[in-house]
Amino acid sequence: MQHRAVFLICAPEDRQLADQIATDVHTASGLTVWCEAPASDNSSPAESAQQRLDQAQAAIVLLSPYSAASEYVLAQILYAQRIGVLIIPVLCAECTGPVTFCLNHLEWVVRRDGVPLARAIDQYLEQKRAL
Amino acid sequence: MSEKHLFISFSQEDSSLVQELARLLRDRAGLDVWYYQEQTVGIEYVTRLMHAIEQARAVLLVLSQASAHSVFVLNEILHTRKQRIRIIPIYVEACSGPVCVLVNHLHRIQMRDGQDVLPLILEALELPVLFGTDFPVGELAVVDAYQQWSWPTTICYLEVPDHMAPLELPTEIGRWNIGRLPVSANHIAINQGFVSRSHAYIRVRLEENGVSFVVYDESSYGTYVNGERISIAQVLNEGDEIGLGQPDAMLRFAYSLETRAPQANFGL
Repeated sequence: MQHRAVFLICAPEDRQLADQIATDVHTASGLTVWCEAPASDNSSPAESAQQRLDQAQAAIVLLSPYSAASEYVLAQILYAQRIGVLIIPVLCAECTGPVTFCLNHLEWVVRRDGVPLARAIDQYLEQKRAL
Repeated sequence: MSEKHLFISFSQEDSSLVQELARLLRDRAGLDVWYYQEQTVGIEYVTRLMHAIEQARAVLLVLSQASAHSVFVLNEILHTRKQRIRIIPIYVEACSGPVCVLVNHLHRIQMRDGQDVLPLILEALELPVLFGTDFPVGELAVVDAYQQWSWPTTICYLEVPDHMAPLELPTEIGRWNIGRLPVSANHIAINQGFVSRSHAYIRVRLEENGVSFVVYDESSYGTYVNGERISIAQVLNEGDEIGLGQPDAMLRFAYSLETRAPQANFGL
């Protein structure tokens, strides 16, 4: 059976939210969610993150005011684009910046309080598979 | 002359041509030109690029096979549209791709060998701004197996004069053609199987409670909605799948954010 795993890209400031989302998505859909935010000094574990991306079905990008201007997040997105990994932008808070600019061409999932994100991500994956 | 610069959107593969173009605009017309010349992409790069677009008088889009499929160029054009800045497409070769789809409806310049392109650019810059902005009214996702590009999904755009209030818009606000290549004739060009040269078209109509989309068949092999061949025309609903010359889904229709609500807000 194919291993279903997604990689979660976020800014260090959003790590707590990312962990919560990873747990929710895994519990609800059985997807393995890898999450490696850089340390708060922004010394990014870029290499190991990219190894995870190499194996992931998709990359979930948490969009927040922090990640919208994060060098680490941008680097991972550009890498994911280069290797052709499906990118799922998830808007967690209103934001704009270089990272959102680079995701202009994609459909975004909007995270809302009380609405399970796992279902939206599952639908997104299903839709892309169907296409 | 405006003090604002011209932003050039292009693919790195066309950089020598762009340098020539920039020199032409600076030396012969005294225009200020901005285009990115660094090789690395980072937060600082993108930030400067965004600001350069936002402060531009107009964006010259150099269209080639490379730029027509460039994600970066695509994002520059989408950002330009959000800022409601004039886009002038300059075709340097015959090409098709998602970027072309976004600008198909705009006044264009064709660059030919030996031709002086400067007067054409100057003329395009002075054209009256009849159309302030355009916005998506519907989206068609093209099924991967039948497409030459995989993004974007938005295809139905409409230009609306700045001074027009929504109620003054004509009842029929747009028509989008679907058929075989080239994209100069079709907004959605699909080179596949039984797709006719002019296969079908979608009309967008303003209704009292929003916008409706109607697909019309004009092909030999038929147009299908959700697997059923349509006789002449059919109203499209969210999620409808369209087959061209075959029942299998090739396009999937969706309302855009602006028209999804029952009472469409045209954001003017």
